[in-house]
Amino acid sequence: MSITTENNEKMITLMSSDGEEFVVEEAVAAQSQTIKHLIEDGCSTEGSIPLPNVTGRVLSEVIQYCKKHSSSDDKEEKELEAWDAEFVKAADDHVALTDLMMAANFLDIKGLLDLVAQTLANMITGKSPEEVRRMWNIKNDFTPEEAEKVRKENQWAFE
Amino acid sequence: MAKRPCKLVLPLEDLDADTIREIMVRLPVKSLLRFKCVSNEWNTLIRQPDFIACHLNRAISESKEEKGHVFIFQDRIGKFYCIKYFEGSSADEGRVVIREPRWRPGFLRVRSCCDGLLLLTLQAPRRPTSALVWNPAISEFIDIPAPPSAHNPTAIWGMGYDALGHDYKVVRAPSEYKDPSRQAEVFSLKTKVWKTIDYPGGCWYYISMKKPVTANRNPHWIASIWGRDDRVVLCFDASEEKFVEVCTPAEAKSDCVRNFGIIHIFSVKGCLGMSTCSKWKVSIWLMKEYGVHESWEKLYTIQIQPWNRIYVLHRPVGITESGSVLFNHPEEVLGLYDVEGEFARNTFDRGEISLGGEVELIPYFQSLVSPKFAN
Repeated sequence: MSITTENNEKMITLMSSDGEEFVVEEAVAAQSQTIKHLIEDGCSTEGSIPLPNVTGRVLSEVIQYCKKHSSSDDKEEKELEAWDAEFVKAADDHVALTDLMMAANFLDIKGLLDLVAQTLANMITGKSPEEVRRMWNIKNDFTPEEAEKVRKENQWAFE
Repeated sequence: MAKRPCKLVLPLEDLDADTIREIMVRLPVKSLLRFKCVSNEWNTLIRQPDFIACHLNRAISESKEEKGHVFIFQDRIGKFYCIKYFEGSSADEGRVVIREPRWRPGFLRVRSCCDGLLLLTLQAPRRPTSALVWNPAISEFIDIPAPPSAHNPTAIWGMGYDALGHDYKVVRAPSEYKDPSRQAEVFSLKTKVWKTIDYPGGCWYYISMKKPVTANRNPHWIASIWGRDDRVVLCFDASEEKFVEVCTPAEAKSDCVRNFGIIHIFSVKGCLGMSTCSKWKVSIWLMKEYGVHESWEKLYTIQIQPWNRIYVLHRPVGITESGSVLFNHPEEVLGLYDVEGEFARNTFDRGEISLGGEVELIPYFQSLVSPKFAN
């Protein structure tokens, strides 16, 4: 269902994995290359666009970002940078950021992907392998011999 | 174009490979080496050639935008240092002493740097000069055998990237006029053999630069030409395996009376630059787009004064955000010249470093590229 607003902006509906619906301007949603292609291929005419990988909570954040950045042509670059910094800060922890990043990856929004990936990279730069495993629940699947070998090869990176 | 399915269903795991990769490509080399120990998946990913290439390309484009300047240099006794200069902070924020690959008899001298790989030559008494290629960031090196031809202590050495063969090539060539051989030698890191190439111009060029300048991933030298007053910029094209002259603006021509022509070349933000000197002025140029003659741009012209010549006649090594020029001061290492405000100052605190002799700064960034070329 395509709705048109007073100022003739075409609206589309995005549906999150948990069934939440978001009505946004097409120009805003089209910052996602994935959605843009879906619209171009006529997938939106029959109703809302389902996004089975993205929960409502994450989607609302993504839309927040897209709104800010779609109306950003006339904005100062510095202001936008400050907004971005606040935006990732508000996401709070690495779990929220990881969700956001996977959504950005799936929805193909380059700016958001860059922003969140850099934030996560900065977060883990100084961490130990154990800390990284704990952050994302990664299983240490090395045999003790393998672990010893890899550790030895890269010993100086631990100093 | 085929229609995409309207329903998008993708398996969603905790952390998919794409996400890991996007984060990892933004990490410094040292973190990545440590994270090889996270799991088999991470270890495999960090070793993948296409990941290494991706990480390198990012480092190359970042080094063009980076606000800081990173250099490697050697002190009097051959110790290696890495320094970072950030505008507004002291020059040696993050000064690091780098451990040499391995102790060996003789003197190791850095000659050239490309994609985070350093070409070192090893000079030992009564032995031909041999070389090694070293990536200090990952602590890996390979020995390069001495070239098959006769020992030539004045030869120039350089290293470049062959984009066609995805290979790194070391070149050794005569540096003096009238060299009868008219040949140079090229060593491929991939095939690990020396071969001889024709170098017909070799007998007309005289090159006094000991270290080439890397731009567009190939080494460059200033060469004087036999019988002419002029100097040209010479490049070793590692893909084509030949020496070529790089076009320079007509204004850079020398007549040896008023205009001294090109006095230095340098690499800044991935661009080739040069400084030229006419009687009382030094001009700083940058070729904005490599190989495009029209893209040479004169950034600054500086009047030479008694008080500033200790800086401006030396080799530029960087241009800061506010438009000051960093010069490689031979004794003080790094000097900053503010073109607009017309003031100069040292920006380097030598501390414990035993300088003495000339310190040559080499622009540097870290990479995962293995000189062993197992990838």
